[in-house]
Amino acid sequence: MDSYEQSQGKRSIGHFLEKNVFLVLFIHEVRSGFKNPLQKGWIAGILFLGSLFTLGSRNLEAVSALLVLFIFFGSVVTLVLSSSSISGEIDEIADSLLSKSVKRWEYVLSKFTSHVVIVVTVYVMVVLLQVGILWRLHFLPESLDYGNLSFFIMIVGLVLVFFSSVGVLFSSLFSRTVLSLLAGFIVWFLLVFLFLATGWNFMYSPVEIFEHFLPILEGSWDVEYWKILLFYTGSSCISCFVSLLWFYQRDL
Amino acid sequence: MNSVIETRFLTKIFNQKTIAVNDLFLTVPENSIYGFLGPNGAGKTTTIKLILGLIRPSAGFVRIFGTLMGMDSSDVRRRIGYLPTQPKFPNTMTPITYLDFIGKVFGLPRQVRIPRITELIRSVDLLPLSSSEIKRFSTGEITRVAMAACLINDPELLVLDEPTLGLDPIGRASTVKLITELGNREGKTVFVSSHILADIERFCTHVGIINSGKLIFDGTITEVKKLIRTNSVELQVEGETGSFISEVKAIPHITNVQSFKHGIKIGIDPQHYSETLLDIFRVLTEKNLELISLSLGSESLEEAFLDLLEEEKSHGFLRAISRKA
Repeated sequence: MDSYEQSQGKRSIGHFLEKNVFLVLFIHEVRSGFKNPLQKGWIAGILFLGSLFTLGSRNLEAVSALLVLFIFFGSVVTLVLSSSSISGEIDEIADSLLSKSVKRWEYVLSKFTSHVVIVVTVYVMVVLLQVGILWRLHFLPESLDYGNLSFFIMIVGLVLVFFSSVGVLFSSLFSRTVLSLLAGFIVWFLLVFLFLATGWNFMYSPVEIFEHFLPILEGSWDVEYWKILLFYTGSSCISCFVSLLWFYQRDL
Repeated sequence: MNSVIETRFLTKIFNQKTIAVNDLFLTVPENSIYGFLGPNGAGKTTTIKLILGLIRPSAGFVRIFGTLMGMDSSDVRRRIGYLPTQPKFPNTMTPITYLDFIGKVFGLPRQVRIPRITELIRSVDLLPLSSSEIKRFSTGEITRVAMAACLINDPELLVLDEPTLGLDPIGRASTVKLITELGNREGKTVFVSSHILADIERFCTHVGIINSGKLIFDGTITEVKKLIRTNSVELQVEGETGSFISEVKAIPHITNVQSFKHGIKIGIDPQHYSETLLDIFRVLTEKNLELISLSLGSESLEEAFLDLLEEEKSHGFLRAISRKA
């Protein structure tokens, strides 16, 4: 392919990106998301703590410590960031955008996808970086099943996606960010803190999942994983669907 | 003449409690500058949001360019430029990045978008601020960015919600000038809401007056003034006024003459307004009186507006009953 064809190819991709309103909104949201001071602080904090864990433990415990941070603090950061995504823009930028050639589904879906992409990108990059360093320096046990580790990492990722979706859902349901934040925290409390504080067993709770970190790596936790996967993916999809339905009913 | 905006039976009730817009029949002709007047809380912004499809009507419908407006009518919105009241922007954006983003939202290709952004930034006088973050801008500067954003798609219809609100006299004058220029361009229709009557009087060709969600007048500026013409003339003259008054009283079609400390108010039969006015001037010349000031019996738009609101208050119920009948 000569340079002319390459430039034509690039132009057509760029042209497609610029013509597609959903993609324009999505790229804008992702850029703004990464520019958010809380997001920047979280990335800096998690990288710093991740390196401390890696240098301190120099074994699998470093990974589990990092995953704990994502489950307990990452979920809160995700909730806070996504809870203002729509409610924070009503009567402001949302009106401005939706009075232009933006369809409501494009607006809501761009919020969902961008938040999910941001949370997954940050999570995957940090965890992969840490696991990569530990693996390269031969700090991980030779008997470690990387398939099971990837599976566990994936479940924690789904937990983060779930909280991100819940945040966007509540931000579309409520007009005030305070209310959407409050609703998000209630879900976080019921699913995470309650089981952490009481020690009750509930297989869908991230606390319960984390308590079975080693059994999952060994493949000895006797549960139907598909139910956990369905719970988190299904809830996220339902959140997205409900948000869309609700947003089509609401007045701006 | 084709209508660009057409509303029929348009009604909005919020939470089954507040009637914001009540049975609105509005017609905005093509190539007009339509002033949408009303006191605060009259339902102007709600009407605009209904027109743009941002809120769902409780009853009735809106047609723009002959197409029914809905929540996802993005094709129609491509032809509209909207300036909200006190516009808000993403904090970290500059006028250039914001206009580029809005241009992309409208699907403008780069070859069209970039030159247009440059042209708009120049025309709204934002060149020195083009790379500063919008969050540091004054109200006037923010309005100029919003005005540029609402023009980026070269819209056929401009919907401006209180464009001069919060602006200083200079900002207000330049916005009024811009709206007048836009309205004079071929193929552009401007729908502008305001409660600043002086602005409306200055640039609008048509007026709609809304009060408590109800349209109480819809017509041209001249029609609104004619409607409330007092059919009187006030003169301030220097010299012997006694004989002038007695001769004026003798002119046919003069309904009454009142003398005040600093002037004379003469009532005229509206059927013979112009000819009677000439007779008064004839007497004035014959008596060799010096005319100090003259006030014709046409009120300012502000007075007309207040009269209409007052009339609506006292006769609104009767009008509603008679219309249903």
